[in-house]
Amino acid sequence: MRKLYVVLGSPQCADFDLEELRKEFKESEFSFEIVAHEDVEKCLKAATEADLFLAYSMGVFFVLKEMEHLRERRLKILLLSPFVVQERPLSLVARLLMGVNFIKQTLLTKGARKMAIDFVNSCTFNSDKWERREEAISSYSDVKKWDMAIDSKLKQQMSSSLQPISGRHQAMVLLGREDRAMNVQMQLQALERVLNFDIAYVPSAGHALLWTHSKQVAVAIQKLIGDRA
Amino acid sequence: MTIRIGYQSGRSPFNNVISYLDQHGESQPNKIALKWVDMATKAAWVADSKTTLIHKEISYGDLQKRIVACAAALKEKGLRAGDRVIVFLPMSVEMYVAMFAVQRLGAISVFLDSWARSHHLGASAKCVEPRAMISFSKAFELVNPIPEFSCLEIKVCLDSKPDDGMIPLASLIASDLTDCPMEPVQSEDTALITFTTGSSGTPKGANRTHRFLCAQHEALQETIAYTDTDVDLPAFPIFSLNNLASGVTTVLPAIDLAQPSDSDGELLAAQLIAQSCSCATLSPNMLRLVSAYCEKHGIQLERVRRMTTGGAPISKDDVKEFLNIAPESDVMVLYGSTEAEPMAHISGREMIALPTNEDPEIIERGVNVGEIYEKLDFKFIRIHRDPVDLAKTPWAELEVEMGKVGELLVSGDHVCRDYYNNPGAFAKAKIADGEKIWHRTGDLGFLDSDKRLWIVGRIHNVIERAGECFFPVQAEILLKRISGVKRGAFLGFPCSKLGNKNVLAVELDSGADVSKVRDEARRIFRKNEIVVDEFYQVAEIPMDPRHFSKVEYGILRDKILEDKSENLWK
Repeated sequence: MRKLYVVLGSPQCADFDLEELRKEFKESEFSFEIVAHEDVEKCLKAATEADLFLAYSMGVFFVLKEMEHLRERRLKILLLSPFVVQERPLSLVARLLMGVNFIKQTLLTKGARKMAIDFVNSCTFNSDKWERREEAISSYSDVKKWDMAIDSKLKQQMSSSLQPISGRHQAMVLLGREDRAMNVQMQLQALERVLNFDIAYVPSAGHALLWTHSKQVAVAIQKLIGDRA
Repeated sequence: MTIRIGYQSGRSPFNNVISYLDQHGESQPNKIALKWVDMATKAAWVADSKTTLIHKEISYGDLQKRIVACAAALKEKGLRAGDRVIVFLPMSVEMYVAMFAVQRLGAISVFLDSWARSHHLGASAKCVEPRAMISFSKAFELVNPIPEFSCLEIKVCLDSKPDDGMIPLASLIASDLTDCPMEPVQSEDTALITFTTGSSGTPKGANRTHRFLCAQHEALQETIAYTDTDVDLPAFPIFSLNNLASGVTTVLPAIDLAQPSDSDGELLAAQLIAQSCSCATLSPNMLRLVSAYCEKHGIQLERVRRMTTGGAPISKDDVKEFLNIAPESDVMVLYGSTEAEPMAHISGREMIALPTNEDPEIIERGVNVGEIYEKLDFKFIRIHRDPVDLAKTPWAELEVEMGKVGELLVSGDHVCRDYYNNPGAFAKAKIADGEKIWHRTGDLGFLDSDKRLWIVGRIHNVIERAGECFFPVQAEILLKRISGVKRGAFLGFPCSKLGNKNVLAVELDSGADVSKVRDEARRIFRKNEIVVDEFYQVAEIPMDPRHFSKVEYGILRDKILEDKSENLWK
């Protein structure tokens, strides 16, 4: 059985169910480990058995960070909606928490599946309210308003610089064609840290494609692993 | 006889805005055109700010040779007049060479907005149907899978690799081609398209014609004139273009314009000192950072004679702080926009000396942005949020009496007439008046008895309460003055009785007492005769992510309503 680590940007995200993605694989094909930034370091250092890292949004930052320590290995990494911004770490964390807070609230009231559908639909249907939320993500420099404590470790991780990862690793980047959470600058900053990758867009997908477009994510996993190239 | 570039009839090489550079390349070939810091030097400086900030440089003669070589090589690759070319490069000498080479051929340089949401990339490409793109490898990797970019026939790459199928930009610039005459163009042919950020719909690309760019250069020359010995550091690309057209030595900012940082003040100050800059053009936020850094470290910018700023409101205090660290200088505050720059200006010293109310607690209801540029036609119209069709609504029904508040309209040669391939944006932002095109600034203002322009707010931020209009600028200046207030905002909330309620929101300094702030706000707003209905304390006032200088009212309104915050005004 192959080991697939799904790395998300926050503990709250790690609570989300990936039921649809699991359905795309036979039970024996992969074992999923879903982790958030707090566990990434520990997990990746011990994860010699990992066949693939799947990093989503802010999780990409943490995976790339850990990859710096794994330069000698040849790892396969699937980067979904990569989100890497530096030099204004508080703003970065605010963006993360804004998104997480929104998702968490929706999750509590509607459940993950519904949340994901709402999330992507609001992008597709160009909702004014969602647009303003998106703008809000980049409008706050401080995080006090979210009433969520940011641990010092996270702040430290955000503040440290991120070097390009080794070209030995094989990476695939999957982007939602309708992703409104990202601007061009941010996407380029993420790509600049990855030396060797293929890139593909998922039509009509927003930022939450891990939940909304599990079929396409599964195809990318298979392609990267090499089973169904 | 001097030929006026951009104003020739029919097709002429002297309509091509790049003619300015030809003139400087011939008349002052050894004068330094551009200075910049390379990545390695900047990295060393970031690691240790005591490292000398060495600048590389290129003369007008050499810049001209590179432009001609690059243009000739692009022509050989098949680029023709009228082709749209996306130039997506950092602010660098390569970017300027590429852009000017494209324009020399009569082709059109297109600048995408890197702050735009990524889904706008395809929409921008669809709008201009680019034939070529000049960029770096990661950007090509990002756009290659997007269907709207499949029309790219010519790909020029800054960091291309062998066998990637792209043309190395360096090979074009280093080509030994020297024969590439200036392409004759009509004055109203498009020279440059710059996309601006929009949250939805078709991205808006300002259509900058050769005439527009030439007229803008003339207007800036008259407003902020340069001498032969000036060295300027402009943080806005449009001012770099003006400098190169003026033959001024330009220092490219080493800061990352896409990632504002608190350390920008130190880096900009280091550049101003190292290059003995006599002028600079910075955003208000950058200006504050430079002032704060120099003040803290006891640095005086003795060589600076003029600091130009704009793009967001700037206070008298900001001006005073800069004059403290550059006592021989003046600050020039420009009022302008993407579509019209400059519209008005005021000197910082003049701004400080303006008479104020005898009671220091009474303040004006807006910001004095000075005299309107003399060659600009202007009008003020009543608040009208829909497109204006003069056939249905004549001027008599639109215009407000002089001295009354209305939306400012401007028209003139250096006012952008339309948006490329985007009639929807034209309808919203322009008014066709026969041959004349009026640009709707979206700013509300009035002209005082001394013919000075006052801006009181944006049309979408005006609060219409019980038949009376209230504007954020005055209220927010009052809030800022209250001890304990870090940031403040004045905004409208929908109300069935009044139409809108007037709401104050404050972000407080650490340890400030909200009830004291509220009581002081109550006293001071009553004195200034501004009605307040509700008062909220918020953890943070959201600001625009780009310059961090304008309140995001819609976001703030949503947040207060969603949080069901307590109204403390009772």
